[in-house]
Amino acid sequence: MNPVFDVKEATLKIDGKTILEAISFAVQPGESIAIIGPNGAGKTSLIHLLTGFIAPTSGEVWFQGTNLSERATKQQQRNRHTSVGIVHQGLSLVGRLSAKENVLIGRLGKNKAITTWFRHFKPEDHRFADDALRKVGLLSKADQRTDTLSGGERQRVAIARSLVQEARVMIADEMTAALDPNASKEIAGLMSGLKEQLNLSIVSILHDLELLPIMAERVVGMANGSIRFDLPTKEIDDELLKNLFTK
Amino acid sequence: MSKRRSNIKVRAAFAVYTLLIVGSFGSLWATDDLSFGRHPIENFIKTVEEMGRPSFLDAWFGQTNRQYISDDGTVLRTENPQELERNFIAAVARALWVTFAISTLGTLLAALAALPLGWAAASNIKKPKLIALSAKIILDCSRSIHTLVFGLIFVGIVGLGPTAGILAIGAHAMGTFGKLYAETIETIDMGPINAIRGVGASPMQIFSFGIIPAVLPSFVSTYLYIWEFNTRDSTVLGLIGAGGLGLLLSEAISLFQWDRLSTLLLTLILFVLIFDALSRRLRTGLV
Repeated sequence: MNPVFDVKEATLKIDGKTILEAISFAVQPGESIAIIGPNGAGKTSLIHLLTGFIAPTSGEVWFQGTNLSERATKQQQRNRHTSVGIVHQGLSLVGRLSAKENVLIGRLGKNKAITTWFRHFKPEDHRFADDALRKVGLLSKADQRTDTLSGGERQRVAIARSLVQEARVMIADEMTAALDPNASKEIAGLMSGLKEQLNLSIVSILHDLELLPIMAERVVGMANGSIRFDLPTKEIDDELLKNLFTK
Repeated sequence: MSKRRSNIKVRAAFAVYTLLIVGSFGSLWATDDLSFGRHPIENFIKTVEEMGRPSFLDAWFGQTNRQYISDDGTVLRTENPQELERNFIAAVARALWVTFAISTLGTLLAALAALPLGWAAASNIKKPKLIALSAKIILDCSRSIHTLVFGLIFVGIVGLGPTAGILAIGAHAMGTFGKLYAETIETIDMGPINAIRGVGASPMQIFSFGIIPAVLPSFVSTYLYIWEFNTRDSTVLGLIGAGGLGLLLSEAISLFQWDRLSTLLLTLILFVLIFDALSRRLRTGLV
């Protein structure tokens, strides 16, 4: 079976500065990976490579058998858009829209009908949205404006938005950064449960290392634009983490 | 920047400003253009006296039978001032409505015309440079030409009447709308928009879900503010033949009917105050 993501010797340079250097790693279907490392390690840039937001200067990034480094056809682009759910750093929700409307945004890649311009969706889309909100435990607040929800609740909306994409892969960029420890654990547990339930592949950037055992089966440690280690979570020890964050 | 350099800059700016004031005053004084006329105090008192009794009071408290008699005792004309003033009040009401209609339609015209221009002028929206530059030039021209000047141009094109007023308001306010739209678009948080783009949404879907909710409150607030401003602007458009209250103002001034001018100004102030209060309330509710 093809890996979900396969990064081969990817190097990224911006304005002559090397951001990522000869990165190679793969994400298998149903696998959860955490990317950790100090600030400026290149974690977010790597995520941008995976989402196709930026292309590598050299090397290749493959997504489900498609080379993202090459010009993708419209069908391939659509396939990627609808197969990868992204939970952004800072959530990127539309504050003035309700929780459900924000979740329905996740259906826009699949439903291009003109009626969606006026925020009218098919019953099927509503079913997906209600189901996703139920899964993240937020159905009772479906009609509440997102800017009135708590940080944890907003995080749940962002996750639900990814779920309605029927994405098989979820990318999470510091999804617990703005949450208190309890809410962080709750969200990590939710993600882990969803992964098991839906057989998702999850790639997440994590700052809170306590969440590693809940969120990831494998940990990729990065520093100065390159991968320092790529190991199963249970093999990660304090010494390894200390070296990663102090060197 | 060091404190010393900052102080020098402030002093230099103050010196230039002082020079500008002295220059303006001196040049007008030298050409004898700062005259207050021959009897400024008497004229002022007379004007205040005449304007102190607005004409609308005559509709209830005025004479009912006024006669104009010639030197030989012949009655030249009789009139009922109460009836005349009631008719004048009705004319003021009609003119007020025309003024309001001019500002309303002119503002709507400007708001719609400015949408694509504001969009094109916003620096964070990707588009060809030529389009951005053209939009900025159109908006700058529109803003720098006064409504009255546009009014004169449009009176020449479409003739006297409210149409010229609507077009004049529209042409000038378009520049203000466009600039404020562009500024609002430039301050949009791109995070949600990138996220919506990331799920594969079409440009119209991005517009509907990402851009409209982000800019609508600010656009509506801008709309109300400019509408409020245009109601004041449209009153003077009558002075150049674009209809409405300004036409009556122009007549009252030309015929030295200070009591009627007083009625007109009071109407205008009341109208603007009411509209301001309503608009402010609506704008506060939107935030």
